[in-house]
Amino acid sequence: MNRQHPENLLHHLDTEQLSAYLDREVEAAEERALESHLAGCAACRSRLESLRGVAARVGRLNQLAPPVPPPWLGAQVRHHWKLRQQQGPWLMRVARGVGRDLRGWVLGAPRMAAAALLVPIAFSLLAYTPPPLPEPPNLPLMVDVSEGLTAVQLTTSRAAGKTFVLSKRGDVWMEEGLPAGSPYQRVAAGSPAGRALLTRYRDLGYLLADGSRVVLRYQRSTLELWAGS
Amino acid sequence: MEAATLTHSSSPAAPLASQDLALVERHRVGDARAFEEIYQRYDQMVYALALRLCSEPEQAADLTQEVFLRVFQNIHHFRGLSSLKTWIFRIAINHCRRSLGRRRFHWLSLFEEPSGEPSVIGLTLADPNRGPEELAVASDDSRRVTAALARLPLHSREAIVLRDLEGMSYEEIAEILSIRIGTVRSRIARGREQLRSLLEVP
Repeated sequence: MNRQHPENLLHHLDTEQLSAYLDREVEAAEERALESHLAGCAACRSRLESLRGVAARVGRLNQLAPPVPPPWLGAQVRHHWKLRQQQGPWLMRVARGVGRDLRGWVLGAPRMAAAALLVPIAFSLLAYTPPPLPEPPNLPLMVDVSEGLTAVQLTTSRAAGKTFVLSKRGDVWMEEGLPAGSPYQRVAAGSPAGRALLTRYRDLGYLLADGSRVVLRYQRSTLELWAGS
Repeated sequence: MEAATLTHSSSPAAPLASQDLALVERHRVGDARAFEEIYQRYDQMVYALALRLCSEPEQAADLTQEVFLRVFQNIHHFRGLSSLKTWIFRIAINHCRRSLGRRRFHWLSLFEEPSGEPSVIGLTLADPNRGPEELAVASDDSRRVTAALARLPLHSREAIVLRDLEGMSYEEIAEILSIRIGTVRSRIARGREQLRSLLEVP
């Protein structure tokens, strides 16, 4: 790295010095020295401007297109946070308490602490109760007819390697096992995202053909695909 | 878990930290508005960071969700020794590093264009007064810069994003990345140099 006195015009400033100067992250004395060099060196001024241009182009990314989180994300975070809280906060509290105690033991007696690390694991295994299963989709298992209650078969279909169940009103194909009422992102079939999905899974198009919507999990998100652009 | 180490951070940020602590305390005693306040104050920031690090809107949304669950799960570790923003950024950076390291290959993203270059679909234009031509040029440049940024090594990308997009000081960046200020300086310089070479190619 170039650490000589910057006033020596025989040696150019290095990128690190120019970049830090650009960000005004240099000491006052170093700043004066750098400015003195820059005043007499066109090559370094040119490199400084070039770096300034790069930093400005990166900075403009947020001005032109500020990244905005999808509107459904907040609801999804709340939903998952509530689920996590319901899935045994007492166990988390116990584990945290044991963890705090363990930290003390680890500091005092490494061997005992190593052995004791197994305790919360064993405790969790013994005390663990599986989280409640998600509520099944709100689909009709029985229908009311004039003669009385009659069991009906659910209408199902296979597409994209998944099983879909037709909703009561016959307008939504919902992936089997998806919890009812979970927040989802709407994707039009004609949008770039929809086209990408249909290119990958052509058979989803059959489900959309009669104007139905399709709700499915895809890459860790829940999507509602609808025939439109 | 990063939260345990975060409590040992030592940057003084007194007035802001006391506000942050009050907010965290409200959340701890079950004030639902505090949850909303924390989320709404930082969601855009975390999403923007995740998007600039991974370049995919869908993955950025997943990362944002995971970061916030981690934040709320560990918020009792927050002691106000740094600002809440810095604390959340550290969790976000650590989580993105782990996730991006794990996902060495990825499936075709819904938002990825066939060229393989990151897309700006899903982003909204900030200045409606710009003309269509100006927007097209700006959008093209934005795409090129995003693609170049995506090709930087992760440690340079992190430093560049925190400095040039989040406007953080070298000291704040050093605290978030747990590195020395001298290292921040060299990572930013190296990243800019690489970006310059990448963007010079026509």
